Amino acid sequence: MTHQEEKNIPISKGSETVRKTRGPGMWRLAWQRFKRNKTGVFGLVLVLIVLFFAMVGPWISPYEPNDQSAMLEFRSKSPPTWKNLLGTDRMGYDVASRVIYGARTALFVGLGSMVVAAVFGILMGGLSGFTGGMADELLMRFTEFFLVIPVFVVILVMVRIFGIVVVGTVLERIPHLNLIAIIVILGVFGWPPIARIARAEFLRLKEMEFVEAARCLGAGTLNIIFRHILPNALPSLVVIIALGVGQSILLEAMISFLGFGDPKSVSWGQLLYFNYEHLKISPWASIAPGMAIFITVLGFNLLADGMTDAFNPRLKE
Amino acid sequence: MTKDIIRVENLVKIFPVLRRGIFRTAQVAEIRAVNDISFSILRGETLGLVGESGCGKSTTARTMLFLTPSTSGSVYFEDTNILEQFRNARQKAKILEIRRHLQYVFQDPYLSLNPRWSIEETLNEPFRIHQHLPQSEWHNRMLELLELVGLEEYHAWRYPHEFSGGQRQRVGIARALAVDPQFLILDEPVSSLDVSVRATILNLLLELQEKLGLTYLYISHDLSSVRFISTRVAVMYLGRIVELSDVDSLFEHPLHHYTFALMSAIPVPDPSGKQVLSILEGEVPSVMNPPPGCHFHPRCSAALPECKTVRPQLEEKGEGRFVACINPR
Repeated sequence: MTHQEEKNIPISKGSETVRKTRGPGMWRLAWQRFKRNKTGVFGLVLVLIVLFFAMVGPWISPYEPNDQSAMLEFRSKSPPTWKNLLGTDRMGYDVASRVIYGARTALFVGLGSMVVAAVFGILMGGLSGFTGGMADELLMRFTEFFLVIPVFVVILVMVRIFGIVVVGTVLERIPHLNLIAIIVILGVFGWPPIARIARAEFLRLKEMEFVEAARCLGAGTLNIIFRHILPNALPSLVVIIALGVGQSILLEAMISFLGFGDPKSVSWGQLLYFNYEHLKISPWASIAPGMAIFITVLGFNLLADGMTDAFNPRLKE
Repeated sequence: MTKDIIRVENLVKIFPVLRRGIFRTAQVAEIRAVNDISFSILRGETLGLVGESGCGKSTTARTMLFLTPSTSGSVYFEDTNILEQFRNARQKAKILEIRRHLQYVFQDPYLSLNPRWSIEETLNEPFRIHQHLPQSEWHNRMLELLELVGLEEYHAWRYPHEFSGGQRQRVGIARALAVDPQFLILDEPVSSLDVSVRATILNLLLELQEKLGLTYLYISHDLSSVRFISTRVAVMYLGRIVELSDVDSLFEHPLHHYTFALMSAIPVPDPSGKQVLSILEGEVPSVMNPPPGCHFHPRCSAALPECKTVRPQLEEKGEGRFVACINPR
């Protein structure tokens, strides 16, 4: 009866040939639809380019990020040359190298903060949607509270306070502590949209007949949440998380541009902060990091857009 | 041999209608979806449960298996009060034991299969939950189940979206059968399928019943399928059973006026034949505010004055026939 070794051999059944291979699953189908979506693929390419620079940055960047030697040769504020492909800025840094190293920081901030936000958001939203009733009311009012406060100002205040509080403590010895603090704070304030989507998905899915069927078979609550509801909620969550990565990168750039960033790490927002006063003298030093931010955020937004279409094919038809 | 397998006693399910305020929620009304109904199902038979949409057929079935908690009443499976067992929920093993005997086939095969799982994974879930088979036998048992419901081996690696409605419903039936149940609730199993597929699924169900000695509760608003598959039929109207009888006498001579009206709504293939039509006047009353006495009296052609005040009980009128009417036909 078992012909498992023949699983991949086409068998002839009457006139039609029946493939015995495993059919495409949900993710594979979504990928097939995604491939046809030009803007989505464009977004993915942009994200992959940024990812490439972030991963191999140290090997391809022409200078060290903290190399100010151009200053000694009186080549600061130099326009793009063969020696400095994107020119140098007013402190003698090589713009190209700094931008390449910035990709690392940007992705670290974007992905890191979204991991924090996703854990919070899915926990809150899932609990809210699955239990319903009073817990739902309380958690959703709490989420709305986070949605209405002017997050950006609060983040600035918290970053500054944190920077002062840790002075003189052991915490100060942790490398990139300020950046980590920014990531965590962005995550802590970035979860409400994820929680709302998670709640909606849990509410929708817990009433689905296949969940009822599992309950009827005697499946436990954890079983239902982790094997039935969460995997089916994932497509919507992945989209909102991809969107959130772009937003976090933009927020970090804004924080750094206002001078609240981590002075020890190389970030695009900080490059803008260092160079915007010399915009007329050395515009290349501001344009390059600005373009990098633009490309990255655009990439993540287009990627999220493409994924929405791929996961919900009926939405746009 | 004819003994009750399932006995439902005074089952009530009330849904509160709530108005949510900022500080408190008030109950403004209640919907008695299932209003004090009792019946029993004999081993090996098929009890059809008919009625129009919203009369509480599905709610009855769902409360019987504790998919929605009941308000009051009890359901006995072989003299065990299963609702009480589910409610206590202390002994997980005991509940799994009960779940193994009673299974449910859902209405919409497009919603009742997890879209992320291949058929193999869906059919393995019952084994994983109940652990009634050693893992080495899961694959063979799955193939047996597929064969039993008329699917092929290669279907196991497919996903639900690759199947037609009829094939999906076969998978749904196979999943229910995976735990070797004695009793199946079939909640409108063919109503979302094409007419051509319906007959094959109904035949499959009859075949399985014979082969495996199953007992069915068949829920539908489609009278011809009920007549085809059932041995006895219960007719529901606004949360109450108004008539319960064996299938032939019910279809030949309905006693309740509502049943009669339902019967005459069955389309007849031959339009030249004279058909006694009894078209109901008015709408189904609101379930939130049902008429007092017999729920059917505002639309009944033979209503007596006391129909407005006295609630008729389900009483025996002749051989194995029960009707809840003061003035039956």
